[in-house]
Amino acid sequence: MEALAVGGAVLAWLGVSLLSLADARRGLALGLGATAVGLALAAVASGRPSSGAVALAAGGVVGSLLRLRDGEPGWGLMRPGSTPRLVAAVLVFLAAVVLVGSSLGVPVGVARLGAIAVALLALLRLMTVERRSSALGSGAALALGLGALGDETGLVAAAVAVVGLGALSGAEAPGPST
Amino acid sequence: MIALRAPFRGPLPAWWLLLGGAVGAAVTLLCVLGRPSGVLLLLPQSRVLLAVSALTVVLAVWLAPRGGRLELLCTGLAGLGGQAVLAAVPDVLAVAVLLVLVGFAVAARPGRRPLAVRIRGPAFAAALLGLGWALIRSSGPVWLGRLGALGVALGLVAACGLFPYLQEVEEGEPPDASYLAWTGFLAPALALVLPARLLHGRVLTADEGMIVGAVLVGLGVLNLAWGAVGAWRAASIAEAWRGSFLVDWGFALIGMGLFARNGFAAAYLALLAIVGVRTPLVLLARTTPVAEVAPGPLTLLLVVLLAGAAPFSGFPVRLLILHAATQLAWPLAVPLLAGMVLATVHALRLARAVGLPRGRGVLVLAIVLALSLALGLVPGVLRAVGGV
Repeated sequence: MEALAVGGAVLAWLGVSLLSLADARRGLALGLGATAVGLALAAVASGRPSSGAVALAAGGVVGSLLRLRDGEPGWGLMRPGSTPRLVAAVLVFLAAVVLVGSSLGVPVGVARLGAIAVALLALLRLMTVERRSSALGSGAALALGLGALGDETGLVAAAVAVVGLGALSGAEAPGPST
Repeated sequence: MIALRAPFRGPLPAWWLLLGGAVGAAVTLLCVLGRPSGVLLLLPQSRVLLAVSALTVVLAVWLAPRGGRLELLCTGLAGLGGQAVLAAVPDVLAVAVLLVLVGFAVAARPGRRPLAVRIRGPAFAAALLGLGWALIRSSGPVWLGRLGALGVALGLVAACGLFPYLQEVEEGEPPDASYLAWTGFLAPALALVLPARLLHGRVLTADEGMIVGAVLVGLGVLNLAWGAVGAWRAASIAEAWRGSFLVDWGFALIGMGLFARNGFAAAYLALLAIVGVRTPLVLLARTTPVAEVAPGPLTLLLVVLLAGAAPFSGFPVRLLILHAATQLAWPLAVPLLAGMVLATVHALRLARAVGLPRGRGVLVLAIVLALSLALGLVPGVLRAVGGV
């Protein structure tokens, strides 16, 4: 179970790192999907109800597929100016390790590490992003990270939130309207 | 059917907005009924707030020009659903997650600022609330729990759009895309139940409770001062209105942070007044042309209401806050009294902004005055209904 928790947490962190480094639809969708599956694996390994974890994974996958329908085409990975985001991905992971601290030896702690890293990195991205589709992707990752910190209610709420955010259009608004 | 359709004559809104309104109405109904049980639980005080919010939606739709009423009704019902779900979900982490969803739904409404900018406040609030709650419940060292308590308190303040997380205010921005959506409508539902959720099950230690209380009282006093000065000195009337919201919220935060029965009651009454009195007055002021404003007896009545004097809604709030504060530490009453005096200065300016409503506005003003009078004259009845 520990190996599954570690694998899930690492997959979630890689997914949210990908999402924070991507500016186009494919990168956002793959990052979001990997984050959801990773968090769900870690949640199962930490003894959370499997129905909640399945809901989280399913919600994340549906949300990521919905993200594919609009926004800038392509992957949009590592564009100029993304170095601070790459550094942040590493630093946030270290910060999450400090916050989880002594409970890292058990699957619950590892699952929490993945969720905190996802939530923090998604929040950082959301605070700096200008594009609508990237904001929606980061918001969905934030919901996944926060939901994965909770029990079944939190996991199901995150699944609902991710699908709901996926339903919102990622196309840029034509301009300020009155 | 024709009679029902008549007030909404005009083009149909987009399908997704109609769907949002229907979902909002359904979610509100489920929350009121408490179904599924165990997942949704609406406290009595939240039921009262929801009823007042429904009245505010009706007044807003009544005030809107005929072509835009159906769209506003759908938006209002969706907002009511958001308010209900934030109040009814007992799990704080699930509330933080839903805050992200509701935040995006609000930020997606057409407005002057892009979605990516407007979502920052609610997303930051959700992260603070969720991560703070997770740290409180973790089995780590003591400092983590204290950090979590700080996060939860700051998260609540951020969700309300209060100082130091103030959003930009722009003249002419649609109400549902402006600060009004959170500060005047959605956030009171969250603020009303969060202290109860925090205290339920004794999750907070004494230290953590003290941190939450101190942050709420401290930021409450700051918002009171900032709002009173802002409403008085701000260049635009829109900013002045926002300042007046900060004054009300200042009292609500102080009331919550005192963790005393009278303090909670003051916060409850202040939040009801924010949704049922202050928000409709702002909407009313937006429909009154400035050129028509002429001071008269009605303006005087509004000055008394907006200054928080008896017999209107602000008076019992101030009285209960002072009572709770003096029970805890009497020196706290000094800045509170100073803030209360300072908060009367902007009343004339805002009363003139409401002006002399005509047509539908007269009925709206009459209902708002009646509600404010009810809050001011029979707060005990409302407290009993809300179980506060």
